Amino acid sequence: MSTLSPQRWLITLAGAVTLMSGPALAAPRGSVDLDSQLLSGDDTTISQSADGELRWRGSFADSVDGTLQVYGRLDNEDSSHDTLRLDEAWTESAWGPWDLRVGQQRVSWGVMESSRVTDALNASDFQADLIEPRGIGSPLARLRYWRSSHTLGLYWQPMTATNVYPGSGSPHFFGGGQSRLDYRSEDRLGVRYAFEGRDYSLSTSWLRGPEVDTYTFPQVIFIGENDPIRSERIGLAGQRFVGDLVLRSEVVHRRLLDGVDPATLSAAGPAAEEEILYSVGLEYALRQWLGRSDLTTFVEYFRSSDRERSGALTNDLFLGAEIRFNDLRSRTLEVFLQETFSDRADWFWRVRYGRLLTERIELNVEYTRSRGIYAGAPGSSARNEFVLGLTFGL
Amino acid sequence: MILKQSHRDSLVGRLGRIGINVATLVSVFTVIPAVAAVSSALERDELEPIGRDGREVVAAAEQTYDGFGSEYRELTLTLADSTGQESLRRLEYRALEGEQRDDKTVIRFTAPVNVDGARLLTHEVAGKSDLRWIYLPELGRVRRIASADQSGSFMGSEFAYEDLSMRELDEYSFTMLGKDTCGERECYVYRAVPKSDDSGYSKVIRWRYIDNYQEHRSEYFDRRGDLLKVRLIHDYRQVEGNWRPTRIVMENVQTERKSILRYHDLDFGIDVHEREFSSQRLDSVF
Repeated sequence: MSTLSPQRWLITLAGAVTLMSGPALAAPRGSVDLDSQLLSGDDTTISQSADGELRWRGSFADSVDGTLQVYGRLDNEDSSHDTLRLDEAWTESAWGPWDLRVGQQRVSWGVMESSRVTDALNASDFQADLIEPRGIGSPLARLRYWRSSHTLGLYWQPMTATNVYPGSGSPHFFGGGQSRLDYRSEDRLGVRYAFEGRDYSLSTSWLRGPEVDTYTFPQVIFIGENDPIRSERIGLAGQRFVGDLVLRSEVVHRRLLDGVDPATLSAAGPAAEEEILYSVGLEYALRQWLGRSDLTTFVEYFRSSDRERSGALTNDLFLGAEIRFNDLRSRTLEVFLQETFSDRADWFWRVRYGRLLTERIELNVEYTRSRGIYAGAPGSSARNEFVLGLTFGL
Repeated sequence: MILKQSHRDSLVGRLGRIGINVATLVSVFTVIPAVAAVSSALERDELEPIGRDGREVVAAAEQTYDGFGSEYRELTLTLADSTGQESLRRLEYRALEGEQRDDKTVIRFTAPVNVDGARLLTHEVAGKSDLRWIYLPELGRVRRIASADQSGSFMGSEFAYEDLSMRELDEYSFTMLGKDTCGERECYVYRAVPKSDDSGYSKVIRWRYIDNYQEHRSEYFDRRGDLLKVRLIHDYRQVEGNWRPTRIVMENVQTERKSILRYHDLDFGIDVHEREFSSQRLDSVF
């Protein structure tokens, strides 16, 4: 393992303070997932993986709390998917209308169900699942002021680097390391205001510094430079509730900052210096539509103002449906699909079924069919993925 | 129907030969009309009249809920289907009393595994639909739920979200039906008609003890007017002047499913701040 970097000291300190809360520390909770995966495309492979998380919560003074969450994954087919990291190691203090949280954190912005274009604080772990990635904890200091329905937050992310590789050997791996593409890190600053109304909610955000994900900059994967992709983002997100109908929308204006020549980013086309990403969607729920079951449906559309760029969230339609059977075994059935309307016509659809076997064991069965979504997917052939998993609660 | 004795004896004999117990028949033909008579009596106000307004009784009941300040409970929710199979849910409940009866609650789920760590925040608003948010740890974000969800099932149980609130004064229109016997005690009986179109009920008939205004039982009628569920409240405890049941049974008479909510570890005056009941902090509290 490499020497702990300064950012690791921040995380380690916050984690240590949390662990040292002694008798006030809650017993660890968490879960372990064991998956067996059958993947077919040009080749057929069968692999097994295990991932799990442990979390501790502690209260060690009046209005001072802490959380420690460790996440790990082992993949017997591809060891580059292995990881062990601290996703959360933070201490939070609250006083009056203020709260301050310092340490490794995962923060989620935005309101859409599938992808949230304003949600840009944390990098995504695409190694386990490209379609539903997990957020990766990042060192962060967050100061918030709360009054009635209004919240104002200030965010400082020290030493942030573009994420291209969250597996073992990356900076996210516990103990540190170097990413395959060694991006220089810089601090990032952000501000967010949110309001919760009776029938609606609204938030606006500003973020300046390195982009953390390559998800919306796929061509960055090919870059050989080690300067981070820096941008300034102004975002807006809102939702309106009308009976069983929820209307949602997000908009983000992203401007690449000086020092980055968009023309050098090519392989899938130049990135525009300024781009507006927006999404609109709705959710509708039918209660007890079939016996005791509830059906919730989602429709979301994503568009980029950069007509030259292709890839995810540039011209996409997402459709989803979730059935909750409301029975003893908490059975659920989810179906969703997404298609990118471009020359590449990337698409995926996924079906997932879950049910409890016991109070502590859940069975999940999932099938995904996709084309072009996975980088390096052979030609235009579709990819089939079948996953059988068990989740054990601790 | 009047039968001569000789004809009656002959009839009993014939019924006995084909296995029909006359006593059973008698009980069936007396019980059913009795139940029907009770139900219809409720509708025809044939219970012992009482000179009190329905809303007045409910207001008195809600006054007994006032002043709890803050509250903590641990609960288990048992779901049972018509075959007797059961499944368990475990939760922790915290509540903060609001000034205008706009109470706030946070429920943290600890079992089963698919909801472990999830939290549900509810802001009750007098006379309007509650506001609700849910935090799902696997997603790492807080999600607001449509308010019209109040008729939806809570955790797959027979309790709907609208059944969980103690407050009803601004949610229904009330008609006093009269007085009835509840075991060794007496109850007010009134009809409550939901004001909200989002409710899953056409009406609720409620029995409240006259001596302390606590609920004895309730009957819920679906939108077609048929009896849907019966709620029975058991084993009240008075803690620091606050009455709370320790066991609530909700039975769906149409599907024969049942859900039982049991309260453990009841505590009042817990040290909580109002900010802990805001949606912005749902991912970090408790």
